Amino acid sequence: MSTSNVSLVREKLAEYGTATQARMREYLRGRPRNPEFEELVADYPLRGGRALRASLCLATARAFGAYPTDALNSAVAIELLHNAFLVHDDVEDESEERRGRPTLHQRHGIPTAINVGDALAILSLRPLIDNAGTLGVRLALRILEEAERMAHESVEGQSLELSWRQHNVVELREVDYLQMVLKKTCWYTIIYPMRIGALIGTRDGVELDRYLRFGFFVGAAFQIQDDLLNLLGNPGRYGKELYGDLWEGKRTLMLIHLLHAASAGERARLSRVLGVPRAERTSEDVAWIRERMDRYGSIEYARQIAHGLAGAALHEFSVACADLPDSPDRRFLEALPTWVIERG
Amino acid sequence: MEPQERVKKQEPGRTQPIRNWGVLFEQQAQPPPQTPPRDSVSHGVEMGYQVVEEYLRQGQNVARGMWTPGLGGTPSGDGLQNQMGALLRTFADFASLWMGLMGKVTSGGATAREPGATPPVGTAGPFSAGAAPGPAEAPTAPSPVPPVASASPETPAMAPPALTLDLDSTRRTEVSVDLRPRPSDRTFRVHDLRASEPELPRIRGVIVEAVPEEERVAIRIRIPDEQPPGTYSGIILDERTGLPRGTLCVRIAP
Repeated sequence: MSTSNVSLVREKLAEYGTATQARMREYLRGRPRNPEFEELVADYPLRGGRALRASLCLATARAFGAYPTDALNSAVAIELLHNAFLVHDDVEDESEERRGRPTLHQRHGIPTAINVGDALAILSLRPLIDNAGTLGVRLALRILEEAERMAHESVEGQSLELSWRQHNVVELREVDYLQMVLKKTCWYTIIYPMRIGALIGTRDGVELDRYLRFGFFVGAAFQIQDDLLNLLGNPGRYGKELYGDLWEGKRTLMLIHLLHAASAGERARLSRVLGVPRAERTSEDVAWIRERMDRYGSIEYARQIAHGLAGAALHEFSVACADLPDSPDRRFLEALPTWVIERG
Repeated sequence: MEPQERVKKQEPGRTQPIRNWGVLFEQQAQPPPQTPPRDSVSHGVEMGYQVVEEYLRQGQNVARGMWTPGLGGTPSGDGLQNQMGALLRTFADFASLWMGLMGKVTSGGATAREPGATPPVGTAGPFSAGAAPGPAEAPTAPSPVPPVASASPETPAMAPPALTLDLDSTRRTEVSVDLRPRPSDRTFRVHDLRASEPELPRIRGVIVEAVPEEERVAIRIRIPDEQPPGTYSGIILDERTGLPRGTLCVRIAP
């Protein structure tokens, strides 16, 4: 992949991220009846982020020939819902850090955080309703229908992951992990934004399932890379708690690989460590798991799986987007699989 | 043993019942790997397709039952095959990206090409064969077909391999191949060729093998008579390392 393509991804993320942030601020200002609460609602969205999902929606719509403004409301809705998910995920995962600062529930307590997450989820409906004025009622309803499906898939995926932790499930296969990631990550990170962009760009004139494979492969590579960065990321730049996934007992591909590769005694210890609440896990436990991952090659294994998935994503891009004319937005989409695994 | 030392049970191998039959048999049949298998990349691709195709199958069944014509859209999977022909034109666009990406697997993230690797070569096709033969169509018997692309003049890499296509099909069929072998490649593995619609059967048993003494690569494809029309594609991997080396696409005319 050439440097120019990586630059193109960064430029597009910056361009579309800025546009989305600007419109999102308008929605966040909304109808300020309780300034203190509005400030809490705006906390995560204003911390920044890459706006990957919003950019994907805008780029896909533009690649099909739409005006950027046509898709801006939908892009904002995606970002708002994404932030709602983050607030709730941080509570569910007992995370401590988000975008370089303490998580909302760490600062304000769990009840407030859950309420703020709810408020963001509700707020994400407003731009979708406003679509009726700009795109027409029929297309706005189609987008809402897609949003409902995406939300359903996402919470189902999250539910799977939570149940694995709640019941300390350790007999997991790699395909179980990928099935969970397809629902939890791929749908709302890649598949849904692309489907919405295509719906808007073609005025509901394209078969949407064609993006599912590409979305899955990119999303799965993205999630694995995300999990790898949690173990290998630069503490200064990462923005989340390094080794947080180990502290939280998250069933990552590396952990599943380790569970299969470890000896019976090690697997039993691993199961015991994963079975206790986070507060009872020690830094020695975490360091031991991390060391075993190195010993058994779990990190390198996951990296290779991510590369394979990214390669398949490129293959699927050529299938799904063969008829898209060349444009910077098409090139942005095409460069995503490589960017996903190169990002630090 | 010291008199005060307590007798302890050994750590159990598992701490909960095995409810997954697949895992149970896997554990009995083969010990878990100690190091990443050499073909992890290929394993990831195969596993990914397994997951997404199963999901698509389930989703399409549900969608067919729930599709509401009044809301627009199209029933899932309907007509997609008709849009797939353009795939044949796009190999050259994405293959160089892909090969660049895959080069990083072995170089630990560096962008440089693997030493001794060939520049992109071997993009060929579409070859056509079948019911309506014309002068440009490939015969069903093996015949050398020169690749379309060639090595860049400033790179003294190995000559592009000739491709021999042995296509066994009773119907008109187009074949496109983008193969970028490296000098050390001897044997290849081709993933089953898949259509975009998961319910269509795969084309299995495709063989791609290097014939180094003749500096050519032979491709053997048999299209079963009952294979539905459509566009099928699959990834070609180096058998030894599991790394992708190209793609193969077959279009069976209706």
